[in-house]
Amino acid sequence: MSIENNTCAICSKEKVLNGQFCEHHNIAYHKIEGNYGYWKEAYEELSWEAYLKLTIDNPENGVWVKEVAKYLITKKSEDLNV
Amino acid sequence: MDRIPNISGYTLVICEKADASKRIASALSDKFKTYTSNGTQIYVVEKDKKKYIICSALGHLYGLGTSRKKRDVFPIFDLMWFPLSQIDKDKKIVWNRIQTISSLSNRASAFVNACDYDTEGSIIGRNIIKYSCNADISKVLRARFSTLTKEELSEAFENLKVGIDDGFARAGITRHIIDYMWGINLSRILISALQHSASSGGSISTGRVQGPTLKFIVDREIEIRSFVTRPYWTAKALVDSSKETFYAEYSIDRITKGKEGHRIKNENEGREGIVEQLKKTEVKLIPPTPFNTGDLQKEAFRLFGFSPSLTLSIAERLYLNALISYPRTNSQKLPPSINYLKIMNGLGRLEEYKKEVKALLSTRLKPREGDKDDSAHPSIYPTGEIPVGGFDARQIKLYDLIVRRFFSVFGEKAIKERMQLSINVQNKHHWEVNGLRTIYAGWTFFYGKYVNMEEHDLPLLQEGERVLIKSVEIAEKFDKRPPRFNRGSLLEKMEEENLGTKATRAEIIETLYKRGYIVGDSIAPTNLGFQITLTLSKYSKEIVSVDLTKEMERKLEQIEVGKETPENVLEDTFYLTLHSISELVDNMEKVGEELKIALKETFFEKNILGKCPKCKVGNLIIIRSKRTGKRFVGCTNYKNGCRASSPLPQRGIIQNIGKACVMCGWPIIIVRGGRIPWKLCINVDCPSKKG
Repeated sequence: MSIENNTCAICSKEKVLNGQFCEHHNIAYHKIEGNYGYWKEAYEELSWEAYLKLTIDNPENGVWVKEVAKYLITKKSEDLNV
Repeated sequence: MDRIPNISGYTLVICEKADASKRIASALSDKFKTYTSNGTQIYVVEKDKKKYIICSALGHLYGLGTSRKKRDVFPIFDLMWFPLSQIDKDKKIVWNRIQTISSLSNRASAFVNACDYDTEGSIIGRNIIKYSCNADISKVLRARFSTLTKEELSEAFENLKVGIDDGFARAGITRHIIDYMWGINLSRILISALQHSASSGGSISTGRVQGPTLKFIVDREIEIRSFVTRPYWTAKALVDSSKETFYAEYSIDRITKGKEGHRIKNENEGREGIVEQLKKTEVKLIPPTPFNTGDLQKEAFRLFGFSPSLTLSIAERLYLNALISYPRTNSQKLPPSINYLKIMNGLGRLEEYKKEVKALLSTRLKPREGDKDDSAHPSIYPTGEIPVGGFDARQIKLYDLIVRRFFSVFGEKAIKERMQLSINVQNKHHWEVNGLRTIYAGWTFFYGKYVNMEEHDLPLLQEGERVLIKSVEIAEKFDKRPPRFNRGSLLEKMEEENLGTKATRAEIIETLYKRGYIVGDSIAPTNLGFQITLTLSKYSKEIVSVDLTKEMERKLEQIEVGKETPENVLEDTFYLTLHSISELVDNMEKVGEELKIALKETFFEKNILGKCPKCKVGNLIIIRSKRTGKRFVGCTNYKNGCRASSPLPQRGIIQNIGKACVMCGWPIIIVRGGRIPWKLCINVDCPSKKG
């Protein structure tokens, strides 16, 4: 039997139902996802990873957005290593 | 101490502040006598064979309180008015004032409430006459005035009206009661919740208007923290004509694809363009409306950076010097009864306004007015009295702004001409050059340096003229994240949402700072402010509900005009408070846990000033010495031998701005408390402080 971790993958807050993040990081995650299409069109060739890196570096982006982007990059590289 | 004159059968006049009582005395007669009793200035005047004794309060002398002092006891619904000296130990002076007024009331045969003619003034006078003088308030007279000029005060005393328990007082008292009921019960429950979670302590509070105001800031912060920007590009061309070189903007101001930007550059750079059309549009700008409190606060913030509360306190001083009308008003009206001509003539005696007055006196004086009105006072206007004595730079600035705004509302529409040139490149691309110039200054002549509009001329070009697109600059830009509120924009938001009153909004914003819920000029919530709002929203939505607070404000306004009763509003508040309390009680443990975490985070946020520049391991933290009680900064790595420490200013709130001193690397702090915030490096040995 496994114990399910009920906290956000980034902070210690409770995560939302059927999600991996808390309420605020979840909002940020959906905004990152929702804006990818716009960025891809703007730069033509833009991979998801490159987009996440640009998201982290852009000073206009919110702190939760950057935390989620960092997490997604780290998770991706961990997944690849596994 | 001078003895109070042994007279009787006089009218006792209660004013709100000492300056006002002296002005009232001199308005009634030039031959007034001054006495001092128990630190209170008392004026004795005889006019038309009637004797007056005039004294002043210190603002409110009474406040609401409860006999149940324990901070974790709730609900509290048994409220009473207590002398403020019994509620706040810093207000001991209030008791002396109450005693003086009480002894003056013994031989008085009539009473006049001459406090400021608004809600608070009505309550201040009513409570003093009721509780200090034990007088029958139904027989008390009310003085009504908007300026402290001799003329208006004399008129007010010739037309005293019976009755001080009017709509103002009823609405004001109801407001005090619901604010107190709401604030004390919810704050006490939050404190209990903290105790419930076995927290080591900490103080936490909320208020009826405070909660929703803090929610604006938190909601904006959520938007900022979850903001994802979008890229776009702009194009600007350097253009050569036969006469001059100038810049032109591309006709599409937001290019959404990077590749499109490159195409625009390639297809335009070095090419010839034709000046195609010169479009001229006339724009008429109507004069501004007269200042009400909020408009003055916003404009003073925009122009001088004055906080709303600072503006109000400067305006209050100008009012007490009889230079401007009462500054707490919603009104954007200027009724003819204020006598425009007399004010203009008065101001015309000042060298700096001669030109403006001369210009205005040659016109028919008809002001532009706004929609907002106030049953007690007109908008803020200069009285036309000549400033006498020393005024500081800030008072002069605010006075000049009020005078110029007053002039402007009598001005005519200003006429500006917008000009637009288009440059066509191979029928595929268009570049634009814009210009703006004044055709007729109108009201802007009077508002002068305070007009917010930049003018720029067009280059001298003819239609059909050929020009060279010398170079094209493509700039990659990103959408800006939503701005944080500042004191001005927050005040505007509160006004828009009808939260609080003209007299309380600025104070509520300052309370949020004092309680450590918000920080910075660009206002951000602290962890504590953030968490309180989230916790309250989660467990009892009503506490931070803007709609509910707005509805309550509407009902209070209706009490003022006699369309609602205090009893109904108090009953609604009673049930609402009980409902919110029960919601919080049901979740006491969770509420306590969440607030405990926030308090802990806030402690570090407030007290850790940055990495220790000496050991580079620990953090510099504010410590209060148990022996001396003084605060200083020390290193958290003390146990391992780091002895970095430095004294700190003992007064004021220390704010960490997250910057290091360029000279020594120690943190820079801002100390708030005095009139002007003070920025300094905390290192006592910093080279910048030597020599």
